Amino acid sequence: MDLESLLRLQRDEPPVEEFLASTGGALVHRDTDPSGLYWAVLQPTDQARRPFIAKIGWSIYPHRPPSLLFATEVGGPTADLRAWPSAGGYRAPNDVCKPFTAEGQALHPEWATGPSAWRSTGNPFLYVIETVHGDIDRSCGRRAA
Amino acid sequence: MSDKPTRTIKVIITFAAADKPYREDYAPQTLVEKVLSDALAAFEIASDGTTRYYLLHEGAELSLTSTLAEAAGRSGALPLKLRTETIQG
Repeated sequence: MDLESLLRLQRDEPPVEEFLASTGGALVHRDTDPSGLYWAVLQPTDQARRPFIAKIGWSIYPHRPPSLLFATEVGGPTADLRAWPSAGGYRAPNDVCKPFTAEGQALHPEWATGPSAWRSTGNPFLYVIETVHGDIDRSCGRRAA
Repeated sequence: MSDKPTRTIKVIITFAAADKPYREDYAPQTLVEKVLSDALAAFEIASDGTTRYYLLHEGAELSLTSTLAEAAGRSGALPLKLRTETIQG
């Protein structure tokens, strides 16, 4: 990851950590993780539901959307359906087909321009986290399996 | 003729994907729908029906048909958050 991306990520991390903590979650980046890779612990508003672990990989920040997958635990595999939310566009265990993911943008070249284009303004990291958390809550924290 | 000052509500809307918040003073009877529309324009968001935009106040989504007075109560300020839900995908 280039230096500019690293610096921008460091700048944008604190609001992400603050948001996740306010909802009972956390942001994890282990020393062994490549730069740009994070694990977001997303606690549904329904506290009876177990948290989801989103594996978020940034390549060029903030100019490219991140890869977004779901893991069984921090550092865990992403192939387990039980790790994924049961939400529209969340296609366990393959991808999240949304304009705010690298996978979605790769599948839909038409999203590169217009209203679905990736926005690199503001704090894109926080935007992705808030949006995913909203999607999880709308599906009441249910899992794909 | 009353010389009572006209009350306004100071609205501030933050959006994670924007560099700065949207700020404007509105009359209390203004509908949330109008404020949302103004905010989308300010954030240069052109809605095409594939994404739903909504406003959160203290964690709860505001109805488009409610007024700012209903949301703000007695407060003269109304901090809101703009959130999105992608419908396509």
